[in-house]
Amino acid sequence: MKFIIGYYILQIVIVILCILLGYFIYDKRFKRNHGAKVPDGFQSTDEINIDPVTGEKTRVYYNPDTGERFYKKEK
Amino acid sequence: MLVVTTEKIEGYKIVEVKGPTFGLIVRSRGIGGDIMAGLKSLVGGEIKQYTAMLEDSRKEAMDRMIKNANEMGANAIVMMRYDSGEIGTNMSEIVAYGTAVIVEKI
Repeated sequence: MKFIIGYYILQIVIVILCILLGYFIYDKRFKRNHGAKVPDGFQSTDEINIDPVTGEKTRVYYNPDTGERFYKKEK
Repeated sequence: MLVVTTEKIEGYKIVEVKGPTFGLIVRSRGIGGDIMAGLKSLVGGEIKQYTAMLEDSRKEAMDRMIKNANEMGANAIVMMRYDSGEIGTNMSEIVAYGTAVIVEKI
């Protein structure tokens, strides 16, 4: 009986651990907190995204040397 | 980097075709997001957990496609498209692809 109860408690602990790991570490929005200051070498583009969940507007900046894109929040 | 869904870019001419470029991403929401999405699906409406996942997937796929095109020496991508699929029960695959080209202003 103790083994069965222990087994179920272990299952619940594993699920809770996975939820906490996802919430605090892995399951994050993509480049959400990319920073307010645009790094050197990035050029402003006309590309604007409005996030369908948060409603935040972001403008895309592009670095032609590296091909990287930077998402800056706009008001 | 100019990225368009059309064959040509107004005001520019294609001087060199570098070839196909793509960016691929597979994402899942994790067990916490899936539980919340499952509960929300019981009552209907927008499942924001999955909307956010697909929005992020498309952005990341596009970023990777543009980075690949930049490595190829292109300065534009024409005929850009998205394609999507599922892997397993809770993983979503998004690929952004197009043709990397070099364009010049006319």
